[in-house]
Order: sequence, then C-alpha cells, then structure tokens
Amino acid sequence: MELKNIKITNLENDELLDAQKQVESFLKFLNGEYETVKKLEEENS
Amino acid sequence: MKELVENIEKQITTDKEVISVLPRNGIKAIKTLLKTIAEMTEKYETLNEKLQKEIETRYTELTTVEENKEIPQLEQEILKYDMAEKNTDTRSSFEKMGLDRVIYNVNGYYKSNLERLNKELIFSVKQFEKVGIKLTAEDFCISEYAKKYMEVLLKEAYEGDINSEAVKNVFEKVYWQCSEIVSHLYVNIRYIYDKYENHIDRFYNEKAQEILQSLSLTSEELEEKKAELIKQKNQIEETDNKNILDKFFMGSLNINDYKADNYKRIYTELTDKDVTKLSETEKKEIDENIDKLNTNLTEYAKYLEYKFLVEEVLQTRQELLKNAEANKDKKVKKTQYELIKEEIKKLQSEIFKLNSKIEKPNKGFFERKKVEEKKDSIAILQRNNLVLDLKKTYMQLDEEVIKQKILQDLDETSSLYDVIKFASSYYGYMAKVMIKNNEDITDKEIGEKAEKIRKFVNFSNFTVINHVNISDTKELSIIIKDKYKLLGMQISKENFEEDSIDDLIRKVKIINNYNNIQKSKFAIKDLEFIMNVKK
Repeated sequence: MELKNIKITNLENDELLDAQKQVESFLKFLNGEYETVKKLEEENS
Repeated sequence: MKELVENIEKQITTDKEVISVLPRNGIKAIKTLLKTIAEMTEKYETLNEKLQKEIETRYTELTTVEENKEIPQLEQEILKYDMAEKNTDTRSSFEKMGLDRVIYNVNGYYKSNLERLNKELIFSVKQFEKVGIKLTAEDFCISEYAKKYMEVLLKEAYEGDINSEAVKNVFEKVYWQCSEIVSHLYVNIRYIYDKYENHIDRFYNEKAQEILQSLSLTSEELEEKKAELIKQKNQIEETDNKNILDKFFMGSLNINDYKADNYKRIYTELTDKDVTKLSETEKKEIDENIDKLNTNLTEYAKYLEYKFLVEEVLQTRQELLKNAEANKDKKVKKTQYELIKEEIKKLQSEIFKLNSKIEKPNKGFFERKKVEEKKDSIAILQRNNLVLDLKKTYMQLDEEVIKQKILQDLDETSSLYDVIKFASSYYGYMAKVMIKNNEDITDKEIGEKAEKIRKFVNFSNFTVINHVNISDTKELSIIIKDKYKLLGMQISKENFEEDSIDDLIRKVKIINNYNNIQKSKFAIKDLEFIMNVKK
C-alpha cells in the first residue's frame, strides 16, 4: 500500500504513536544517509 | 488495524532496501541516490506531519475536559455550612474570632518577623470590627508604647501599607524605649477581648441563632449536612474526568501502576480472587468494599499523622482525672480558673492605676522621654513589670482553660474525632503539643501544620475515628483490619505495621482509582496515550 493511501485516522491510539516512532526513526536514518552520500558527492567532485 | 502499521513498517523496510542497493560509485549514481533520499524524506515527512496532526487532534480531544459543574457548587455549599458551623459550634468567642492564633503568633513572631506581627495585629483589629467593635489607638491603652505603635500602624493600615517606613521607624523608636513592646501589644489584645467579652459572646449567640434559624437546622443537623455534602463532593471527584487527568499530569498517579496486569495482580493479592472470573455482581460488591477500605485507610493514614495530638489530650485527661480523684475530699472555695481570673482583674486594675499617674505626653511623643526620666520612671518601671506579670497570668489562664475544657468537653463516650477536633480548636495548645512532639519545628511549620489539621478536621467525611471511642482498648488498625477481613479482604495485622501501611494504602488506591477511571470518560489506554504524548 502506498504511504499516501494509508488512512491514519483508522489507526488506534497506540498504533498511531507506534507508527510515528517508526517514521521518525526512519527519517533519522534518511537524514544520516543523506549526509553520508553528500560527503561522498563532495569527495567525488 | 495492526495491518496499517505493518504496511508502514513494510514500506520502510522496502525503502531502506532501495537505498542500500542503489549504486554509490560515480557522481551520476550519487546524484540519483541523493535525489531518491530527498524524495523519500519528503514523503515520510508528509506522513509524519499527518501523524503528528492526528496525534494532536486526539490529544486535544481527550484532554479537553471540564470539571463537573457540581464540584464548585458543592464546594460553595460546604464552605457555607462550614462558616455556619464555625459560628455556631461550642468554641468560645475567643477561638471563633481566631484570636487564639493571633495571640500565639504575636507572642512569637516579633523575634523573627515584624511584617507577620503587623499582619496579625491588623487581623485582630479587623476581627473585632466584624463583631461590631471598632478599635482605635485609644483602645491600646495598656501603655503609651502600645498606643503610640498602634497609632502609626492603624494609620498606615488605613493607607494600605502596614509595613511602611513609618511603621518600621516607630517600632524602632518604641522598641528602644520598651523592648517588651510586643508583650504590651499581646496583653492589650487580651485586655480588649476581656473588656468586650460579654458583647462578643452576645454577638455570636445571636448570630448562631440567626444562622440556625435561617437554615432550619440544629447544630447537629448542620454538622451532618456538611459531612453529607463533603461525601457527595468526594464521590463526584473520584470519577471526575478533569480530576483524574490532573492527578496524572501532576504526577500523583503513575500510568504504569494502571496497566491491566498490575491491576489483576494487586486485585488477586487483596481479594484472593481472579478479577477476570468474577461475575458482575461479585465484582460490584468487592469493589464497593475496596472503595470503603480506601476511604478508611486514607482517614487512618491522616489520623496517624496527627495522633500525637490525641495522645497528648488523653494523657492530660488521665492526669487531671487522677488529680481530681486524689483531691475529691478537699474543699475549695474557688477553682484555679476563678483565682487566675481574679488575678488578671487585679493586675489590670493596678496597671491602669499606675497609668493614670504617668503623665500624659503633651508635647508629642519624642519629648516624652524627658518627662519620664524626671517624674514617671518608677511608675513606668512598675507598670511594665505588671504588664509582664499579666502576660504570664494570661498564659496560665490558657493552660487552665484547656484543662477545664478537657474535663468538661470530653468523657468516656467521646470519639477520637471529638478529641482531635477539641485539640484543633485551640491554636496555642496545638502549637505547644507540636513543639513537644518536635522541638525543632518552626513557627511557620506550626502554622502550616495547624492549617492542615484544621482542614482535616473540618473538611473530611469521617467514617472511622468518629465511631471509635476513647475508651475503646482495641487498636484502630485492628478495628479496620477485622472489618475487612470479615468481608473477605486479604489484609493482616502486618499490613498495618509502620513499614507496610504505605504499601497497603498504595495498592488499595490503585484498585480503587482503576475502578473509578472505568467510570470516567477515559479508558486506561487513553490515559496511556495522553501520558506518552505528553512526554
């Protein structure tokens, strides 16, 4: 299922918090990856 | 709904894999990877914003609760009946006016705080005004020092600043002329009360009649009505949404205590029953007993805090009874109380005789010193000594009044509540017993504790100590334990021991609060959600 299609209003309270935890953690991961790859870009240019 | 969370998790795993497999060699590949990460970030940020918004909406919806409107109405009613009770109970007018606290503080505060002394002096002036006696500096006639100080204090109080420079200056000046100025003020307040005692008694008698007539109640009915209102208020508060939420917010309740497993475990520990296997009727009955036990234990725990007061009164009573028994054949013309009263009258008369000899200042206060030095110094010295004697005699009178009241107001049928109520009625006595119980206690702490004791006495719905007589030899803890043991509760004498009682109270509270939460708008998981979001 596409993320944009997920009906978050259907989530239970605890699931909502759980989902946010997962998303925040993944965003942190993405941020770290972006920094790493950005450094790689600088090294290669 | 678990499926939706799983979908998010799956998507995150897939996206993580995409990033890990995308090539990172060569500037073109790197740029593609950066673009992919940026797009993903945007997608998840959008999701996160939606989640955050939904969380906030639900949090606001859950936490937007109003206090039950009946609570403030009941509080008003309770205060009305409390005020009526305070005006109609059996305390003397002195206590009704709050002068017991004033004179205790006036006697002690000056050593540490002039501001508090002034506050108490003005409070006493206002109290006299409430009973129809408008005091002026002329009423502070025990000495020229008392009068001079009150002249300035009353003037400044009228202008709204009882701690002005003028007050500080006059205190400084008067103090160096008479370092016992505060004792003079103390004696003067008591003298004013003595002078108007009959008028004040009449005022309270008429007021009491008027109040009882307007409420169409007797004193006993008034007390019962107030207790009933307190009970009603407590019951509503227990299941009130706002009250429950505030307790979690303020930390007096911890959400971890209210997990279903914890509830089930404690329930079994206290009742020896599996809560999940109880019928509705069985559970209702047990829960009602837990509610009562909770009320009884809360009262018991508070009582333990103030038990030292009860013990002191009862010990004094025993001594007085023993003395009375030993002296029963001795014929006395006058009681100690009557003798002290006579002594007070005599001292007052001597003081005013001397005062009339001491020349009145004609040329203003600061020129008075010259006159004193020449003519009046001996008379002033004598008068000042008599003021101190009068202060001591008043203090003896207070002790004698307590002794007399203990014998008059308490008998074998009196309850523990009667005793604590008795003790709480006399501020000076309460303070004395507190100091005996803890000699390091400060005046401020005495004030705070006295307020707590009076609040406990006046605003509790008593169910235990009002039923236990002072002649009862059984310990209070045993009385409570036996009752609930009969009802099937798993409590023992050991639970009431000093290092266990708090744990028992905590467990009973958890079960009772859990049951009350079920009656509110909240489910435990709502509260878990709220507390998690609040973190």
